[in-house]
Amino acid sequence: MLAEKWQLCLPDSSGRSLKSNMNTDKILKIQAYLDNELSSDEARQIATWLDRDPEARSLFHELRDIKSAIVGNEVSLAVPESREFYWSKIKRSIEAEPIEIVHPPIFARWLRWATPFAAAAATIALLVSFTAFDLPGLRLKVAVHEIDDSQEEDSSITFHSQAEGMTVVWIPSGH
Amino acid sequence: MNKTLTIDYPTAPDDVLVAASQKGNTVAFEELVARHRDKIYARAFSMLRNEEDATDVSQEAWVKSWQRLVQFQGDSSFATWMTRITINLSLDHLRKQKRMRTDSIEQLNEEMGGVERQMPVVNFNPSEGLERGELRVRIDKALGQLSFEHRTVLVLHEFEDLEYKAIAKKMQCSIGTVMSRLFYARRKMAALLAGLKREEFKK
Amino acid sequence: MRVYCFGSRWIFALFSFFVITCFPHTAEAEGINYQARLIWGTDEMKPEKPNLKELDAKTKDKLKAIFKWKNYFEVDSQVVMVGANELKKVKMSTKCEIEIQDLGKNGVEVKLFGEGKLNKKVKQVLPAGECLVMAGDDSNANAWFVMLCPTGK
Repeated sequence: MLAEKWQLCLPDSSGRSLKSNMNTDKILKIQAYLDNELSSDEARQIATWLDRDPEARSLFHELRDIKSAIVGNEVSLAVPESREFYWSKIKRSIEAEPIEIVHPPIFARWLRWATPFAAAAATIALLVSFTAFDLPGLRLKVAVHEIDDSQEEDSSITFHSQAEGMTVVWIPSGH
Repeated sequence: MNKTLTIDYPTAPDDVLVAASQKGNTVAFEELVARHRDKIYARAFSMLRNEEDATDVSQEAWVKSWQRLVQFQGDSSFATWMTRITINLSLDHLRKQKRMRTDSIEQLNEEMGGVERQMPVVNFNPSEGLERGELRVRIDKALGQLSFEHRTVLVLHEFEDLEYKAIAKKMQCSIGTVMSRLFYARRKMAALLAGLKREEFKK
Repeated sequence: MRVYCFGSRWIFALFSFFVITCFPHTAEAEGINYQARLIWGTDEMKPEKPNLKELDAKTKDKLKAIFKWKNYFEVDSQVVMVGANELKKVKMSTKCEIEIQDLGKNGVEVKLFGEGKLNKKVKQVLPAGECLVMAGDDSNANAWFVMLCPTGK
C-alpha cells in the first residue's frame, strides 16, 4: 500500500516580508477571497489584483497551501481513560442532576386541551404586533444572548461566560 | 418501558438513542457517550492542549448535554450539537484560566499591529514529503505553539468549518479581529510547519 | 360529554382572551425587576469600611471563577423595576451611576456614568439567570464591579 505523500509546495522565496504595496486591508482581503467570504464584486477585484501582482499571488499561494494542509488533517485522539471509568464520572453527575424528561402522550393531551388558549394567544400576538406593546414576561422567555457594545473604538473587553451565566464588560483603568 | 428494552444499543442510530435519552434512558446515553467520546475529547484537547483539562471539559460537556437534551431538536447532527457545547465550555475554561482581564492590550496590539505582515513568505522544502500521519502530528505540534486565541480561531475555521461571523460570535470579538487572528495563525503555522524557528518570526 | 368539554374550553378561552385584551396595561406596567449591585474586589481582607458587606457565596464564587481577586464585598445593592420602554437611573455610589432602559424585545441598554460622564454603553438581551457585569480595575490593584441581574417580574 502506498503511503500518501504530502508535499507542501509553497513559493520559492525566503526572507521577504510583506511590506511593499500591501496594506493590512488588502492582505486580509486576499485571505477572505480564499475563504469565500467576499462579495462577488470584491472577489473579482481581488482575482484581478492577484493576476497582476506576484507578491500578492505568492501570499495567496502560501495561505491556500497551509489551509489545504490543515483542513482534514486533525490528529486523531482517544480519551486517555477506559470507557467504564470515563462514563462513571458522567453517570454520577447526571444522576445527581435529573433532566426534564419528555413525555409525548401527556404533552399531546395538554396540547389538545390548550388549543383554544393557543388560538387566543396567537390572536393576542397579532394584536401585539399592531399595537406594539411588549409583555416583559414573554421577552424573558424568548431572549437569546446577544451583546451590542456600541462603543467600538474603546479598549474595553467583552466576553460571555456560559458556565457562570455572565457577560462581562471589562473597562481598563484610564478609559 | 418495553419499548426502551427493545433497543439494540450498539447498532441503534444516534437519533433513536437521543430520543431514548430524552426520556431518561441512561443506557442509551451511555452508548452515545461511548460512540462520540473520542471526537468530543479531541475537540476539547485541540483547544485546551492539556489531557486532564480536556477530559474534565469533555465530561462536563456530556453532563451539560444530558441536562439540555430536551432542547436538542435534531436541526444538526447530535455530534455537531455536542461539539458546539464542548467548544463553548472549552472557551469558558480558557477564559477562566487566563482570568480574561489579564488578556493584555499588548497581545491585542500584536494581533492588530501588523506583526503578521513582517513574517517572511515561507516555503517548504519541496523534497520534504510527509506522510499523512506525520503531517497530522506536525500540525498538532504546531497548533500547540500558538496562543489560545490563534489556535481557537484556526480550529473553528479549519476543523469546524465555521464562517468568520460565527467565529466572531463565539469568541466575542469583531470579524476584523477574527480575520487578523486567522491570518496570523496561518502564517505562523506555515512557518512552524516549514521547520523555521519561532525566534525568526518574533519582533 | 365530549361536546360539553370542548365548548367549556372555548368559552373559558374566549373569556381569558377578553380579560387579557381589555387590560393590556396591567401586564405592560409590570416590568422587570433588576438587582443592581456595586461590588468591590480586593486581595486584602475585609477593609474597615462600615458600608461594606460580605457578598453572598454564590455570586462570590461566580466572580472568583472569572476574576483574579480573592475577596469581594458588596458596597451597594438595589432592586429596581424597569417597565416597558422605561428608563431608570440608579445611583450606585457618589461617583457611579447607571441608567437602565428597557428596549422591549431587544433587551436593555445599560449606561455607566463615572462622575457624571458617560463611560460605557452596552445593549444586551438579558434573559433570566444571566447577569451583566461592567467592571474595571481601580487604584491599589483593586477592582469594582457593577452587576445587573434580572430577578423576575
